Amino acid sequence: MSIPREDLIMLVPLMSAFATAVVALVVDAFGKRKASVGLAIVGLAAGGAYGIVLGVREDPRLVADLFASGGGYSAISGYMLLLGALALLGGWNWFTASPLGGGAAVLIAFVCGASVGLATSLDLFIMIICLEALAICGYALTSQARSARSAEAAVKYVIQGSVATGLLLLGFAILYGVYVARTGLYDTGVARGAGAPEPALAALGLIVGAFAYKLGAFPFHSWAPDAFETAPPASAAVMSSVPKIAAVVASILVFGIAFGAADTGRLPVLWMVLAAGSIIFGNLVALKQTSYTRMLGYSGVAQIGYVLVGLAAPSAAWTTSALLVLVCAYGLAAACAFLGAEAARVARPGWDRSIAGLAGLGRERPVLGLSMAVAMFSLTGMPLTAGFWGKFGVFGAALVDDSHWLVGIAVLGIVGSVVSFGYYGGVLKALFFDSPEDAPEDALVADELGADSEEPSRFSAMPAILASALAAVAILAVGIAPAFRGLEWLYELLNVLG
Amino acid sequence: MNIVVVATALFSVGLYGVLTRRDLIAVLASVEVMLGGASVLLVGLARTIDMPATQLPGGVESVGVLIVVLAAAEAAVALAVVIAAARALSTSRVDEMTEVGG
Repeated sequence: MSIPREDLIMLVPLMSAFATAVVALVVDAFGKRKASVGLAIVGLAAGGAYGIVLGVREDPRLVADLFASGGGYSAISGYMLLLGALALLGGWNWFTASPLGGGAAVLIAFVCGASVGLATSLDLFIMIICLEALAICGYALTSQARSARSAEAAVKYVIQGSVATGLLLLGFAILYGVYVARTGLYDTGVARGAGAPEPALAALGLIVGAFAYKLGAFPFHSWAPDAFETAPPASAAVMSSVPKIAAVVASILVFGIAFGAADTGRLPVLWMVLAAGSIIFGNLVALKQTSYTRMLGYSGVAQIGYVLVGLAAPSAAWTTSALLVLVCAYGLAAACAFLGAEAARVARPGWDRSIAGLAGLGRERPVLGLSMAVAMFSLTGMPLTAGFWGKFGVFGAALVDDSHWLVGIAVLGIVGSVVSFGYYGGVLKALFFDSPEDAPEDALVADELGADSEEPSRFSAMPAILASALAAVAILAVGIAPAFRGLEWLYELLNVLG
Repeated sequence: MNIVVVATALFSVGLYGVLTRRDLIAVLASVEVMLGGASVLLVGLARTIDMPATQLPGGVESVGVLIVVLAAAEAAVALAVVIAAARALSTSRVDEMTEVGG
């Protein structure tokens, strides 16, 4: 199989991520940890920037019948690589100080590469390979905090993840067997039109379950809060954002193309049930959390619920773009929030990740406080932030639909967003209005990751603060830009299926 | 059709093991049986249908081999994680790991 040169260029984001990972791995093997992390940042950022350029300049098209590229595909690929670079920058202290840090940087580069592969591949088995690569890197990243709690979280993640992989594989095998023995999504989609044999229902259920697991939707969510709570925050910043964006794009492709419009009756019902469960459960459980990172894990469940509302809505190019804006905005805000946690960990070596332990941090470090505040506002969906435009498009599409159920779910999502300010606002209160003296004693026990080897100075938290500030600026820029360039501009940028 | 029965049986045995066994190593072994069942179904269906299978070079049998490799990689990482957890928590039973939650 030969791929023409102009097509090969379209695969640069994918290949650059894996090349970066391999080079960083070799450099790390020689014990040059800082060089390895630095190379990973530069490689991912360069690949990401080129992906965005490709997304703006090229129209969507197929490469070698295996990968979609150009347009929204390349833009999202580039975006995911940039998020990976941002998290590596923010976690500079952790990655360069910990003996496992170089390996973590390599794993993050692999996560980014596999996510790009997952989001752009149009073949069931390339998807399986990418999902499995994502999962394996996720297990390793989770267990790297080297505490008893992170080891337990990683074990639970491994077991649930392996079962989900098994279900997905079985689902794909049935899909393959039922539909003319093809693995390309478009081939199965074409065969699909000829009539729907019943075993396809089993495949549908298995694949929906596996994707709901990867997305962290209720009731397949329980790995997510455990993993995000106990993993190093900079790794959690990647795990909570990049693979979720990729999984959403892959869901759009698998269910939009391979299952097609023929199943409109069943699929939206499944998504709506998962969405309602995720919104209700995620918001209610997040309300009672005292740990900042665990709260972010549960709020991620609720956020995926909002995304699923978009998947349940009739698939039009507009809805799909709104859905992608929502999940990309969520990824950015979650990364910003977790990088805030990384900054707090460095700035306050005794921090135990509790919300109460953040007391007064916003006044001590105004830039960090403001960045985390922007992340919280975007996660809530306040206007002038990126999160608003995602929710606006998704809930808007659901509210104007003829189906009463869909309208009901959208209303539930809006109520959930209001409730979510209960816990996001709690973080703001701790950051700016509480003083450190009010914090309970047990909020200052030693951190699981331990203090960095060098004595923390005023400047040691700079990389993490810089990264979360960059994310916050991007959130605001995307939030304000549609006022000048129109909402269509934003949606057109992320147009897949076009 | 025999191949479908065999594959489904393998997969079900694996799933049963995951759900009922409490020892981590046994759970991991059951997961491998599940993956095995799914790949048997895939390769078996490719044999029965006998059509040009995939754009991937080497056909669907190569995908089967690939899945074996993936499962091996997953098992390696999973075992490392399990050993780390068994050392840290001094148990290898799932039902005794109750530290993280809430």
